[in-house]
Amino acid sequence: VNAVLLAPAERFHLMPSLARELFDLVGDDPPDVGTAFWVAVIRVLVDIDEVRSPRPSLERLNPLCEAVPDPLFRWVTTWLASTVLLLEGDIPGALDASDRALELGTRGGQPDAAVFHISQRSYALMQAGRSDEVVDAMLAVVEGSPGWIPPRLAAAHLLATSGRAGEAWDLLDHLAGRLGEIPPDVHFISTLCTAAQAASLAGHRSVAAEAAEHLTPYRALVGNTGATVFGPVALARGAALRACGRLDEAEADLLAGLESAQSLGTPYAEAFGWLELARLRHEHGRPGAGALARSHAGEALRLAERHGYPHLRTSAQRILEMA
Amino acid sequence: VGEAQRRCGRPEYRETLLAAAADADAAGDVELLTLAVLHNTRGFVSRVGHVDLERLDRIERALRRTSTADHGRRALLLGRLAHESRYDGTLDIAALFDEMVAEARRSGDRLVLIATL
Repeated sequence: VNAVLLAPAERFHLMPSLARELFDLVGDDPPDVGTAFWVAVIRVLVDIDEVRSPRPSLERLNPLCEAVPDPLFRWVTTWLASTVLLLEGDIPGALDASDRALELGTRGGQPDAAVFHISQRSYALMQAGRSDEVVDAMLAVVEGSPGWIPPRLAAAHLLATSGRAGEAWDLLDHLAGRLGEIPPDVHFISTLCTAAQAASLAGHRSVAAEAAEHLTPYRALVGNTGATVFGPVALARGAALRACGRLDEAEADLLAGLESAQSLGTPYAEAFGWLELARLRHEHGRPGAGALARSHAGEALRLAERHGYPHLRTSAQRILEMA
Repeated sequence: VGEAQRRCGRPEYRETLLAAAADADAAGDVELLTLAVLHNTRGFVSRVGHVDLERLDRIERALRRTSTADHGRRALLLGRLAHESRYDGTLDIAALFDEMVAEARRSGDRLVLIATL
């Protein structure tokens, strides 16, 4: 469990084979509920062909989150429950679980409980179209820790999703050529996914290209650390490649990411994928691309309306008008 | 006491187990030292972005006292070292990761291998 979940970036490529070995070892007989919990987490995060069939695995994670008896571990399972709910498209449920996690973590003396809470809250509110409620708080974190890259990227993402793309572009521009400085820790992949999304939305081609390059080895993984939730890495990379004009490569990643998002049951990631694919068709301009763009934008609009993603809905409507 | 505090969610388990580890080290009791180190965790790095120097010290003491032939114990301690050193910047975490997995395999212990993987 240590190796698969906390591998340094230089060893992420081993995650699928180590996860497969772990599943074989545990079989149907996990030694305790904690191991059962982590194995279920790993089944969600690592995309392995042989274990695709038991997906979506989010369902089996929720009861395990509640079953863990240790209060400190309950803090971990509760913030992970929040990310699971967000992946499933339940924004109010995710915010509620995140609040409960903060209470558990604070009571248990966890020094970084507030950091997890703020990150989760920002991402949930961003999905709900309420980025403007948290963007100033995130900008204050950037001002207080100017050398810390993850909050700068989070702030750029929040700005880009609250109609302040110019300010997002400026923040990203300070990071051009510096994504290699992101610490290779547990947040590495989701931070790069945030960079890819922010850069594609703000139209910052060099940061988008850099994010896509760094994400190349991790296309088969799901970007979710608990603090920052996204979904299939391939979708973030596809968006970044589209923004760079590398449309054929972007199409391959977006299609793979969409399949993964549908298999997992993650509506935000799926809506995001359809929207990016619609943009790509619109930009590609092949014969029949307009009809495809409208069809994909229609899928994004349907999901955005059903689950409440206002900025995705607005973008999808714009493509439907243009295509 | 430290283990009971941890299971009850009382944050003072950290200090209790740090003291227990220091006492065990002074008494030369590797078994108790290892137990105090392995139980003194929330399951992953003590604080994201920071290094808990006291926990790191106890882990290193336990590793120094553990026989190189005790592969299972070394695998579990190296796992703790990998967590707590993540933001240290001086250790080669990838090499540590490789050693941890190799030791777990050498132990031949299913539970150690599950915990390590």
